[in-house]
Order: sequence, then structure tokens, then C-alpha cells
Amino acid sequence: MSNSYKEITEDLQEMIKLIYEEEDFDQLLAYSRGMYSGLIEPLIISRDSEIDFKRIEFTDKAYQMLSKYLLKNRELKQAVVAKPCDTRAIAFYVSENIIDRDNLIIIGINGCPGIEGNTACDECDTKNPVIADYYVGEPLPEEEFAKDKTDLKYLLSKDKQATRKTHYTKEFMRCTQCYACRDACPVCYCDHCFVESNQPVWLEEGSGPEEDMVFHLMRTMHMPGRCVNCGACEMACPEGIEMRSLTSHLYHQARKYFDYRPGLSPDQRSLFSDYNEEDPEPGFLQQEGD
Amino acid sequence: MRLKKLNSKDLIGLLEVLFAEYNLIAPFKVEQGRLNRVLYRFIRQDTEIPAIYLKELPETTPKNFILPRDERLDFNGLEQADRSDETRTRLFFGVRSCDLAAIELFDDVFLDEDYLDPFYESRRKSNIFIGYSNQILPPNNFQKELGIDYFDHQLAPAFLYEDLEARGRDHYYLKIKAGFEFPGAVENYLEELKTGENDQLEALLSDWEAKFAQESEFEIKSKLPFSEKIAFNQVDWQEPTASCLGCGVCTYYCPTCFCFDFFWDRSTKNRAWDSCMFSVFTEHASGHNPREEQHQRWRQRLLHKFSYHPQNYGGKPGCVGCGRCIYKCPVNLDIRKVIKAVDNSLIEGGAGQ
Repeated sequence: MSNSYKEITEDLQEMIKLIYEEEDFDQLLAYSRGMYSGLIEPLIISRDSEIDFKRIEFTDKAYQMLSKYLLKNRELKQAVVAKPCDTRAIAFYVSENIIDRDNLIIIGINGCPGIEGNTACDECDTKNPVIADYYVGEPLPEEEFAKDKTDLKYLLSKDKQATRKTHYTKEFMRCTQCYACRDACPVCYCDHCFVESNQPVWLEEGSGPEEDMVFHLMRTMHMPGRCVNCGACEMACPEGIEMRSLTSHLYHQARKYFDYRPGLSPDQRSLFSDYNEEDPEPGFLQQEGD
Repeated sequence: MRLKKLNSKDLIGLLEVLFAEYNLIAPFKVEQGRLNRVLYRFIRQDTEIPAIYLKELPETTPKNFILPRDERLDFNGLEQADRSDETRTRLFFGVRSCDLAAIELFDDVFLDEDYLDPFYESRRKSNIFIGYSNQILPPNNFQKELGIDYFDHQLAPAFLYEDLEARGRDHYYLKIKAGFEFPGAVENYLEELKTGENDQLEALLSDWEAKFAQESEFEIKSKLPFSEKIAFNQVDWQEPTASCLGCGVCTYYCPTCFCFDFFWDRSTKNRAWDSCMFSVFTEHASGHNPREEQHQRWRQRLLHKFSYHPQNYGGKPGCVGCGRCIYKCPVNLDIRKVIKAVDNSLIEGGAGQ
């Protein structure tokens, strides 16, 4: 059984209070409820500011990835509340050497009960943190979640190419090119993203079905071996575009063929630097439906 | 002023006669991905009329039609009077007063005689609006704090009020302002409808107003425009905006954000929405960026709405308090929290009045 949100919230409040007493750090990243909106939002607060521990919460609406915010202030020592998917992103950061492990105090959520409306939680294979300094909640036994869950309708991999193309063309037509999916994604952290590049121009200005398709497919192509399958992209999308089915497909392909899942440990090598001669060569664009 | 009382069937009948006279645009509920959304769209056939969905605040606004996300700036086309899609007047049905205030704000900017925007003008000139309200205060709405009436706006010659609790009876009131007349067929239809009691409507609206007042606790103490001098430097912009991802969703769904960017598509000039929340918005060709950090971009957005815009347009705020930016934001960053931070600094700095 997963932990309840209430138990996790209470544990978190106490744990963070303890960390304030015992640890030295600059900034805390947690969740709290908006003063006026009542909506769950990231609480990013300097150690020097006054904090009411009772404001800290964890609910089924805490979908934002706090791991992403760590990258904004890499030079600071930060304490962060991390869902298991966040801890995978953090482990990935450490493995990529983009953040100093010693600068992090990770408060991992054990037995994560999931996020409402996030389809990634249905296929979650990491319900306990992979890296943490403090833990809240009881861990879930691994056999309850560590299955390979590739048989999901959502992924469309059984559908014919033409069906998929129609589906995605229609989905992407709604794209407003805000790139919130990229901005919310914990493992999208290039200093210079291809969408803003003007030498060369990958994406023309203005909206159009080609531009929408190019953006989403290029983003997808950058994701295998990085995507930790947290679903932040879809949760962030203001148009409700189902783009996660693409990245999730590649996630499951990498797992199936190379037994590779990113962000499982801080000393993991990346998918592409992990080549060996025995690797199968399935051609990852090939799908069952073709 | 005329006041009519309608039931659901009467309203559908009215919309059918309106549909015959105008290009009708109204909100509909649609399922898209994981979202259930309310969006404005053109009505193509009168059979679509019963599906019009008014109860909740639509995510989009007439902005999408009057200042579209991108448009070709066809200078030759401007002189040709008959633009095929706009031969008839467009009627926007079910527009909230805050969204009407947003169009008034656009008019101030784009129809200013010194800087008239002919493309805006051509899309704006033949539109009429029928306003709408019910007893549900849209989530995160703070229009009252910005001086915008819930139940009326000068841009709407007619306003519809729906008493959701009286469903099944004659639960709509339609107020038509003095001096306004619809085309003949619509007037004939209106003739047939029952007349409403103004006292009853007034009582209903004051009930709603009292209910809304209880539900919104947000308050701005300082007068507009906010003093730029104090706000620019003395407010801690970083703390309240720290969770911003810089995606610009707030500005894309904002009914009052109008910044755009030009670009060329071969030999035609185009414009598309732009957003001050994007890191490249102010980036110079040299690579220098005067707003390098996200909190500086937030400062621009907030001060544009609450300092620069009211400075230039007779004290009117550049925000209508519709609340869309709050619930559309992927991290639920609440603009009221940032306004409050500025407000508090101004009060402390003695510039609140």
C-alpha cells in the first residue's frame, strides 16, 4: 500500500523542521498551498526567511517537478522534497555531473501515492526514491511496482503508422509553442535549446502543423536515455497535448532492448555511452504496428 | 433599457435568429487530452446551438479572433473591402465583463489615433458582444479589485444573466440597453418574449455581488499606477516569482497581453504573439540581454500591467483580473501574490496613495 498524502504531509513537516535544526543549507524547495488560489505550488524559500512548517504539504496535485528548480541555483546548498521521479532526475543530474551531490539535501518520498491526472503514474516503475538523505513515508516493496509496463494502450505502439500520424498531427495542432513541456521537464536543461537557435533555424517563427510536428519530434528524439518518465511535460501543457506517449515509448524501448532506465543511480553511464557489441539493433523507430 | 425573461427554449430560439443574422461565436465545452476545456468557436450550423456552454469561464477570449495568434500582414488586402470571412458582423455570445474590459483595453492601444493599427481595426470594426454572468465567481477572479463591474460593460449592448438555481423555469434575463436595436427579425423574436421585472434582476445581482465579495479575499491597497520608482528597485522580485518556468502560458491565455513579434515568411510580413516571459524577448543581436533573469521579466510584466499601462491610459490597469494566468500556469504561480508583494512595498515606502 502506498502512503497517504496526509501521512506524507505530516512526516514532511516534521522532517523539514528537523532539517532546519540540524542541517546547514541556503534554500528549501517544497510544496505549499497558494495563499489566494488554494492550488498546490512550489515553495522556494531562502533559509533566512521565516517559514511556517504547517504550510508545507504534499497532495495528489503536487505535480510540479522540484528537481527542475535545483538547476536554477546550482551554487547554493539546497534542501529539496523529492518524489521518486524527482530523485531519478536528481540521480541523472549527478551522473551527468551538472550538479554537486554535496550541495543537495534530498528529502525523498517513499511509497509515492501518485499524482492525479498524471498518466505517467499509471506506468510508474519507481515508487521509492533512488537517492535521498532523508526519507518520509514507508517504502513500498519493490515487487509491487518494478514490473515492465509496456502494454499500455496509451502508447499507440500497436497502431498503424498512418493512424499514429493522424493522431499526432491532430494533437500537435493545438500546440501554442509555449514550450512549457520543455520548461517543466527536469531533464531538459540545455543552455541553448534548438527551438531558440537561429544558427541554424530549426523552427520557423509562427504557427503551423509542420512547425508543431518538428518541435515535438525533435524534442522526442532528444529524450531517449534521459526521460525519467515523470509526466511533467503533459502535466504542464496548457493545451492538454498527449506528447508523453512518444517519450514514454522510447523509455520503454530502451528498457526492453538495453535494460536501460535513466537516473537509477548517480554513477550510471548514459544510454549512448554504454554501447557494447552485444547490443541488439532493433531500429528504434520500428514499431509493432508497422 | 429593455428586460426580457427567457427559458432555455427561448434562448435557443433567440440564438437561432441571431445565427441567421450574424457570424456567431460562442463557448463550447470540449475534451482535449487530459483537459476538459471551454473554448470559443464559430458556429457553423444552427444544430450546434444547444451545445453552447456558458456556465464556466472560457479559457480563450475574443482576443483569439481579434488579435489572432499569428496573422499575415496583408497591406493590399486591407484596401479590398470584402474580406470573405468577415462579410457579416461577428457576434460574440456569452462574454464575461472582464473579457469585455480586455477588448476595451485593446481598443485604447490599437485604435489610438496616433498609432492606429489597421489590421486590428479591420478585425475589430464589425463585432458585437452579448455579455454573460451567473452566480459562480470564476476561479481566482479579482476583477472587482481592478474596478471592473461583474454584471455590465459598455461594449456589450446586451447582457445575459443566468440564474443557475432557477433552472427549468424562466431562468435567463436579457438586458438590452436603451437605444440599441437588433436587426428586424431578432427584434420581432424579442417582441414575443416575456418582459422581466427589473427589481427582481437587481435583487438577484446584488445577492451575487455579496456572495462574490465573500469569496474573494484579495485586496490591493495602493492606487494605480504603481510607483515605478519604488517598485522597480525596492521590491524583492525574486522571492515571489522563484517558481516561474518562463513558458509564457500566462501571457498566451491573458486577455490583455498584446505584445507581438514580426517575422517574414518569404516575401510576406507576419506577426505572431510574443511574450515578455521568454528569455529571448529582449535579447539583443550582440547577445546582451537587459532582462537576463526571470524575475526581471516578471517585473516587466507586472509593472506593464499595473504601472506603465495605467500611466498611459488614464489610470486603467493593464489587467482585468480574470484569473486565467493563475490556473493555466503549469506551476500555479499566482499573480496576486506578486501584486501583494509590490503593494506591501509601496505601502511601506509610503507611495501607496
